[in-house]
Amino acid sequence: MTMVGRTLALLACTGLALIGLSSCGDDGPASSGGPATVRRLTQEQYTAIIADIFGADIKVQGRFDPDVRENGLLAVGTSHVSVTPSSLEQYDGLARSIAAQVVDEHHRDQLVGCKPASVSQPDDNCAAQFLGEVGLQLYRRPMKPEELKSQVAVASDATKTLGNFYAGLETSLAIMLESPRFLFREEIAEPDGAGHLKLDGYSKATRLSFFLWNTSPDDELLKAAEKGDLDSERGLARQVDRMLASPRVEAGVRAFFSDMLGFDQLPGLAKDPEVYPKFTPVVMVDAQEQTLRTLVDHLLVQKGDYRDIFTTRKTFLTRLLGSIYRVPVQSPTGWQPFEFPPGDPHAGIVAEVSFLALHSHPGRSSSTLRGKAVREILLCQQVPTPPANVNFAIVQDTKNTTYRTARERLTAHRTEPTCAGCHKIIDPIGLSLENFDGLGAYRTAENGAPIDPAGELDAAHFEGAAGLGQTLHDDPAATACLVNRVYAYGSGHAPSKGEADWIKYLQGRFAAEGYRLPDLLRTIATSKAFYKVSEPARTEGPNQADATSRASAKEDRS
Amino acid sequence: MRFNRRAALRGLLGGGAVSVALPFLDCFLDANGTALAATGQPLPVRFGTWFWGCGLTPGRWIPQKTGPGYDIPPELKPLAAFRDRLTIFSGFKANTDGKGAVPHYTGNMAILTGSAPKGQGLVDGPTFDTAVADTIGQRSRFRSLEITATGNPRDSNSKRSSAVINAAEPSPLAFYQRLFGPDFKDPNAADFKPDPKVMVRKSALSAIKDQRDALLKEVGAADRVRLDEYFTSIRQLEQQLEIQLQKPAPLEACKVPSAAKDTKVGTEIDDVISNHKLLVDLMAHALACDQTRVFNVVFADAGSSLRKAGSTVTHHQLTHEEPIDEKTGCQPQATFFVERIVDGLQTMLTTMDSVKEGDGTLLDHMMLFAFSECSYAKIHSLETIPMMVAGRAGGKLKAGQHIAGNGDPVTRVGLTLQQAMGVPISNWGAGSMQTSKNIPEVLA
Amino acid sequence: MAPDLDFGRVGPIAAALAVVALSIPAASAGETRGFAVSWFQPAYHVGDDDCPKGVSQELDWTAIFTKEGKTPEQIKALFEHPLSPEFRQAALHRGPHGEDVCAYPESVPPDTSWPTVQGKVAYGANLDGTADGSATKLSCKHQKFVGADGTPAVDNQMYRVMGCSKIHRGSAAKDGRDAFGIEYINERMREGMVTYLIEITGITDPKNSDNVEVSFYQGLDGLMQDGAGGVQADQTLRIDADTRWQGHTHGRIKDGVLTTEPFDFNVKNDPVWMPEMHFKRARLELAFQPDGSLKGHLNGYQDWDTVFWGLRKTGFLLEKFSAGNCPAMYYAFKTLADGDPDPKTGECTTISTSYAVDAVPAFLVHPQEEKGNKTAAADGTAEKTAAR
Repeated sequence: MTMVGRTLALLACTGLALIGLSSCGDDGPASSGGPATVRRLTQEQYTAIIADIFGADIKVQGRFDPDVRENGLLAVGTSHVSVTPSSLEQYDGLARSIAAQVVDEHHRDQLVGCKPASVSQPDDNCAAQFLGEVGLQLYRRPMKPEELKSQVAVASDATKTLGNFYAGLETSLAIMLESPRFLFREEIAEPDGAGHLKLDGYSKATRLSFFLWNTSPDDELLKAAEKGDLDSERGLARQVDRMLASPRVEAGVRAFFSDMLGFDQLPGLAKDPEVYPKFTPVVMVDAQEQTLRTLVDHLLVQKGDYRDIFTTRKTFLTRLLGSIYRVPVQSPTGWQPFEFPPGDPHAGIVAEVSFLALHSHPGRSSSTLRGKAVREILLCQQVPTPPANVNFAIVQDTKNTTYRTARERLTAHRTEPTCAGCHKIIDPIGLSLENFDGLGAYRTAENGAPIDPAGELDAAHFEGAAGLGQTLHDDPAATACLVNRVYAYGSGHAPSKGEADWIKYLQGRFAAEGYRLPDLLRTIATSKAFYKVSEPARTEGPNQADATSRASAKEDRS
Repeated sequence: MRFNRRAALRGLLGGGAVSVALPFLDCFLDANGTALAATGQPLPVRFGTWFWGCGLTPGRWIPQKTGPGYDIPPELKPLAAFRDRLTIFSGFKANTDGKGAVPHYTGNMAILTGSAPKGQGLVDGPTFDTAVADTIGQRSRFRSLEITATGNPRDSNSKRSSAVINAAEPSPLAFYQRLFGPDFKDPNAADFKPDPKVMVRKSALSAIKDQRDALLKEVGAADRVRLDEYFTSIRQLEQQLEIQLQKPAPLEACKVPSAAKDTKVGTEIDDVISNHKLLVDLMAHALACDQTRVFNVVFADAGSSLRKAGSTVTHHQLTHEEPIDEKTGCQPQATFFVERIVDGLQTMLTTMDSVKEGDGTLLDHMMLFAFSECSYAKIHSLETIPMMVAGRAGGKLKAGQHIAGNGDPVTRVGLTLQQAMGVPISNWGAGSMQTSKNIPEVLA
Repeated sequence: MAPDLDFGRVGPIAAALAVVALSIPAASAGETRGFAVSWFQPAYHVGDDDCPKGVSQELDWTAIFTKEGKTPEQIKALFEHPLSPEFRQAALHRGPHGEDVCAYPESVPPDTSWPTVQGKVAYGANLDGTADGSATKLSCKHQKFVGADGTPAVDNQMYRVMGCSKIHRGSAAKDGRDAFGIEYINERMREGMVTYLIEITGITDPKNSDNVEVSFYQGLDGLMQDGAGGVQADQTLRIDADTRWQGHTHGRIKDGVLTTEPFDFNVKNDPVWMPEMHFKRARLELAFQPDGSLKGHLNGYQDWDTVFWGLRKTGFLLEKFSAGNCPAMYYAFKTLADGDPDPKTGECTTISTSYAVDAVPAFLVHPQEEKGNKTAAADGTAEKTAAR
């Protein structure tokens, strides 16, 4: 749909709303909403929350179960994972360790807001005060009276057995730290007064806080929830604007893009040291930071057009990255803003190491992996898995040696009928990026032969990364995909049929208002649709039509 | 059994450190009523799996003869000494029923769940090791234990559902800590003092259990299942603590190993071999000390990432890219890894066999199911996927045969093994792999 | 055969633009290339017949202590604590009146025991211009070598003195680079102890340029190492403005090999073993490699007293742990030095030497640029002056 078309649609919708024929007002068309989710905390969130509540010097040391990616996002996977016996063992160990630190002599004066009458006896008042306060923050809503009573009883019983108030408090706190009310963000629905369901105040606060800041609600947001402010448009907008203006929104934006771009796979990346001697794990740490800084600066600080992330020559570099991109970086330590000159092939995030090195093999680049990544990550398009009974033997010719050139392999992809169907929509995209080797360094030749950077994406033909970047810039699928992903990230589920109209409206507004991310975040966060809960009947498990778990090592040999 | 242990212990705890020899209660019997004892009593039968990816080399592992006393093919030479306790299943295949073969996933999931999965990461049902664990693993400290030699906790086939995967332990040091760290209760220790802190922790878990009903009412059906998994995990934690509060019955074969070292983990073949040895050695100790009765070992992940030191060319890559040597008819470098894998299985069997237990060895009281996920990795073939069972399973199996499947579904093997371990099922599997035909030749 | 230069390394824009550094003193047209030195150590050739009496050994302390009049029991007691001040005192203070022989090597009679190189082959160049090593205005009479590449009449007296030192003799397979005393110092350099930079300006054609300017600089920043044990290519490094530690000369590139005019310059090095090196009439000969790096030698004279000072000031470290011998090494240096005779004494004060030099491409930041660039960095514009 063209931009003109979208604007007209927006006006038409608004127009209809004015004459009462549509409920789309400021909020767009009606949405069925999605499920009230129950989402397990990620490692990052768990760690951030402990630091928020108890301070940064409380050590969090333990192993967390890996997150699972669904519909392209770990955030959606959190709605489907659970806690296995072995991961509960880990949570139990973590909980006991954190609780022990909180009540130890260094911390108790600061963190436990009261003192017991006697150190060797139970003190239900002090225990209730502390546990109730902590419970509000851990559970993201006030504890039920019976829950608090139960925890106070645990503290009291433990104190009696162990002979020490703080040991009793520690026992009770540890239980709360492994409670499902902490580990899972459980959303509760209530009637919205118009015959449907919506998230209750505290669930709104939680969804909003994790959406914008990737952590649990702060005191002010919890208070707003308590007072019912989040049920009013103005009250909700006030909180949303406060949160968007806060520096903490950067953490949320970083968490979103790290998820969308698959950065959880960067730490484990291995490269062949003989082929890429410049590679060390620190390179990938810097590469991730480079892309995140570029995105945060352009989208959040500059409030720039999202499409420009595919074409921008402005980025941030360290000296280490300078040695990969082969440009000088003045500051000996830390980050420096850097702009590649006009016409330079380093344009956009697909020309950055975080994208190029991730979607390559340990010892060589991969047009197929990169093309697939462009389709799946940036355009939200599914690439089918190989069909049943594919005989890979036909790809092999025994006269060939193990290390064929990329060109030869891709010829087989394109000429074999059973392979060509999919590969012809993937490989030509990545071919435009072949000037970047498996580490992301620029080259004009491979094994002495000059590289031809011609590429194709559907009807578009272009050259090089800059050409691909411009094509992505112009492709409505890219911006539509972002809207999709942001919504799925915030709501914990891939949009359902009943939400499709509202998503289209969001995409239209995003375009009409200049593709600015803060505006998109605000539109979603202040909408009724974001907090609407669909009727109970919903999918039983992961959305199986397009589940693409990238948990295991790449199995594609191309 | 509703013995009020709490009352007994409270009395004991109040009196300070006491040497306690609790009566031998039927709490120490497993679900089948088999007693634990030092000598003269039947020992528990353990069930384990041992997995590797990328199959074996066609033409080099299937014996010519069927039945007992089969010939040892070249690729299985390292296992020759165990022939009479090793049953080979050849010729069984995994059917996808049109769902599409997911490379390095469909085979192992079909074998373990009885059904070809719909896509990567998905399963239609739990892997059958969990069914065995639910049957025989109720009263041991750990319902099951998972380890991997590859360095990656995600390399585990043990799942209860698509999202509930039992992660595997890759580090010998961490595994040692988990098994024999502060929470370990030595069955042969002279005196026993229930730890008041453990008592307190176990008692405190009731506060979480009390939340269960309210919580499950608040959420929808799918989330109920997930939260139930959480509460099942709580129950297991509670049981672990309960067991720590009881004096375990002495076990002659149980010897606490010395502390493990911190090792480098990863997919380099030398690391895999040495970590595997350390991990299965600890597992043998854990089994002898009855810390668990069900275990799962991964030697190579399904898309075998095994590689030589300093190289990034993996076993998997070689199976697809390496040309076949005309003289030998196989891919030489890929076969190097296959041979290391079979050596690894030999190490596994030797380690289990080295623990004397009762009138035999740990291997005699075990059913070890060793399997891969495809037969010819080069083309991801799902026909004649290598499967073997080692051990005598305490007499439940007629060991040491070559069984030819003649194209029957792999589920016949899964059905047979589950039945042998006491899982109460008469048929198993889905679609064209649904079967009620077990393999009578191996059942005792 | 001239090595091929891979234009793929130079970005298309940088290659197309004729980039001129704002602060380069000479107003020369042409390209500038910067390099970070990844190897800078004496090139001690390893041949079979170099050390017929073997390499140097740790001194016979028993004999020395006995000569000092110590009893066997005293000697036994000393050996129990070889790192004690008592041992150190007895070991070093063996001059006739208790002088520390490393501080005062001339307090003892000339010691001719130091093993010097007897082989015929060495790295280096013909520095004095003679065919046979006879004395000239700038050199003392000495023996010549044949170059490892066949060059006749090579001067490398440093090698003659140090080539049989136990910790400086490596294996032929590694071309001597694995000698402890050599590898150790170079590793320290790679880890950030000191950074050397080379800049070549006025390159009109990377294979052949008649008139280039070559500078040897110290760097302010420690080297970044790569993932394969080497120095990370294409890193950015700042040049030390202190002109006391810089050298500048002219050169030319012919068939991909850079050679320079002789020049004098000083460098800082290992604070323990070689705090300073003073080079006289040294010339660089560096071949461009296909990957853009440089490989070759620095051949010239080096002030030997600074070299020996570096060694002997470690005293105990040299004699107890490095198979050294202060008076003997002093005598060897004094008698074998072949450059720059002292006008009064006639004894040569410098010694011919050859250093193996490897360098990887790097971006060099000149001091003026750095100051000026604070504004450039603020507006995010790329710094072009140091592009290759």
